[in-house]
Amino acid sequence: MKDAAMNDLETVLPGLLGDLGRDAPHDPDLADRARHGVRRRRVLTVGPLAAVLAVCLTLGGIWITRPGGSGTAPVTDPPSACRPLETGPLPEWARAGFSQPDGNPFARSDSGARVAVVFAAPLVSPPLPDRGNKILWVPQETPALTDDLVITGTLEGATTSTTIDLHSAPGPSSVDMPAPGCWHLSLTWGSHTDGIDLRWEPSSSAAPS
Amino acid sequence: MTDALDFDDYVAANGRALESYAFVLTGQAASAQDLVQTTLMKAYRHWRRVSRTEYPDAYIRRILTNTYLDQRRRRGFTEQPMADLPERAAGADLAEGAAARSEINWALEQLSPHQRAVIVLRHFVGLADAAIADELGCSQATVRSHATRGLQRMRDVLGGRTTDSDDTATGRLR
Repeated sequence: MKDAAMNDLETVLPGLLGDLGRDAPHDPDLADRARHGVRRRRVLTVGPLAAVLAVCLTLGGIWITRPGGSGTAPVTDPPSACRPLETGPLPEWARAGFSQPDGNPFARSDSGARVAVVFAAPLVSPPLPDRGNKILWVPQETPALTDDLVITGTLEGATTSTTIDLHSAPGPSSVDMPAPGCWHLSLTWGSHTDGIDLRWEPSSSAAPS
Repeated sequence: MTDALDFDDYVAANGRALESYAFVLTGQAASAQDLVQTTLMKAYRHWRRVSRTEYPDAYIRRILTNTYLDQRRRRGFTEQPMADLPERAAGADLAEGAAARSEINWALEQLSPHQRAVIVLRHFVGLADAAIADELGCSQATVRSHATRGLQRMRDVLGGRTTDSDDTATGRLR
């Protein structure tokens, strides 16, 4: 065994690891467990919001059906992954350098471990000459200085994608996307990956600053 | 076809491969099951997007690898590798048998998380260094460094020359 290990470990390693992999425990209900796990987590996080929403819908229904109320159903856009930017206080770990914790709207990443603080909302495409699409990416854990933040954006409902390498630039970065719409941004720095959904509005819709 | 059906089909076809990869990566049944479960939950939450990617296998394996590395990082450096293999089966044939698998698993436990990931991606999954670098988000030179140090460490411990002061086994190096 020592001879084999010392002589040519690289040759025997694939077979040995293959044997080891065959010992892996198998769960026949993997898919079900994953689905249920996600639902459980959604119930824990969305439950209180759903209760508030139910109350709002009930009150809204009373208003619409009251005599003289508007009975016209609102026209809604198709569901989008992009939610409105949050306007409350930033998470505590993201407040360094901000004099007001709720001065800028922001969005949280899929994992919740990074926020995108938007300095001029809404983000617009194409960018306007007198205002930039400035975003400050604030990670919960300080990344290594050598880890570039690379952003790959995919436009919702299309195959358009674009990649931006921020080279770990300190301070806010200007992030211009080639088309308006809801963009899913895949964030990669070092060995980390995360995602975040942000909407770029058409420039024509932005109020003059 | 619904998203749920797509997800079920994918897991039915690829679940075992994910379980094997997670087991070789962690060396522990419970950890491997937790890792696969966490990975599939992450994938399911974004299944429309994941299933539309060109290589969903690579995407999901990348989630699993990064989840493993994040978990190991969070656990910090309190976990130290064993100084020696308990109940080491002297003379066992490495190519066959539970003793051999136990020994190779023990040798892998002496590596840092990144070294182990590189060794497993290279010699179990069969990825080239460029693909490993892409998956781990580092350079190919870093991959080669992890591989060289990892293999040397394994040769040392399998050859009976454990070097407990070697900090490459404690996860201090990426």
